[in-house]
Amino acid sequence: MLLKDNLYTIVSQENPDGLPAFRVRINPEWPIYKAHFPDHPITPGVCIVQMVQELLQETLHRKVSLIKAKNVKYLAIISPEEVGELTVTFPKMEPQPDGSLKVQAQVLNGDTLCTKLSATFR
Amino acid sequence: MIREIDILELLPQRPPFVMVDQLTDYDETQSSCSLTIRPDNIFCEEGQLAPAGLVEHIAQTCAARLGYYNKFILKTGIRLGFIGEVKDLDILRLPREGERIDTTVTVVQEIFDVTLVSATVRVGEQVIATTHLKIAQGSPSSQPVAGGEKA
Repeated sequence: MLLKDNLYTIVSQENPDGLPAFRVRINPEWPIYKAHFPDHPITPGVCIVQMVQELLQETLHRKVSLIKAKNVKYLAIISPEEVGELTVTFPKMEPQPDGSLKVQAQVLNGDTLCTKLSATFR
Repeated sequence: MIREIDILELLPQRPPFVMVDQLTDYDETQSSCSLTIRPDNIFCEEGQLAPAGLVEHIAQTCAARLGYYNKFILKTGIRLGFIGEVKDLDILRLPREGERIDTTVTVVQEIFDVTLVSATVRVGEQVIATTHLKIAQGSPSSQPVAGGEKA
């Protein structure tokens, strides 16, 4: 675990319809915010990908790693000064014959969709 | 090959969130950066660079290219940059601790402050990852910029 309990903590996890949904709290004191960027703290887009990977691991109780991404779209900036909690949902999780897992994930700040991801993990 | 430039002169990111060691090649349409994977890299996990670290390295290769362009050609300042989209990312394997990766980004399209690139990551001759990235530049940052809008 690289970012769990550093960038974010898990507030809650639910599994309505068998599809996981997480509430996470962003830690504005995370030291990386001073490096990305000095005087302009913004959550690095790739850290959202890492967080999604880590939350998948929480759900699956095993290690997974991103192998393909059809797309990851960043629609809104996640500022640690303005964002308290985020919702991370997984509208689609489809196991593939080769053992990989096709996943759609969404990261929301209230009603605002911040990141949309369509990717394969193994 | 271009002259050696301190990478921190080209990037808005600061350690420990710097994922390129050096800009090794620059021209208008194609640029390259190198990175050696060290155990203290924040994205290093179980002796490998995590996928997020690999994508950040590719994005910072774009940032170093834009930094070079802004600093030495337009002679303005370094600007913040953001990933707008990752598309068709294919990771064949993750780079391991101690390995040097070399990444080349080729500009596919540049419209105002948005650049679309295709990227290839290699260890030696072996391609380990490919992707397309859309990078958006923020307005010229208030510091350490002297200068103004892109010409």
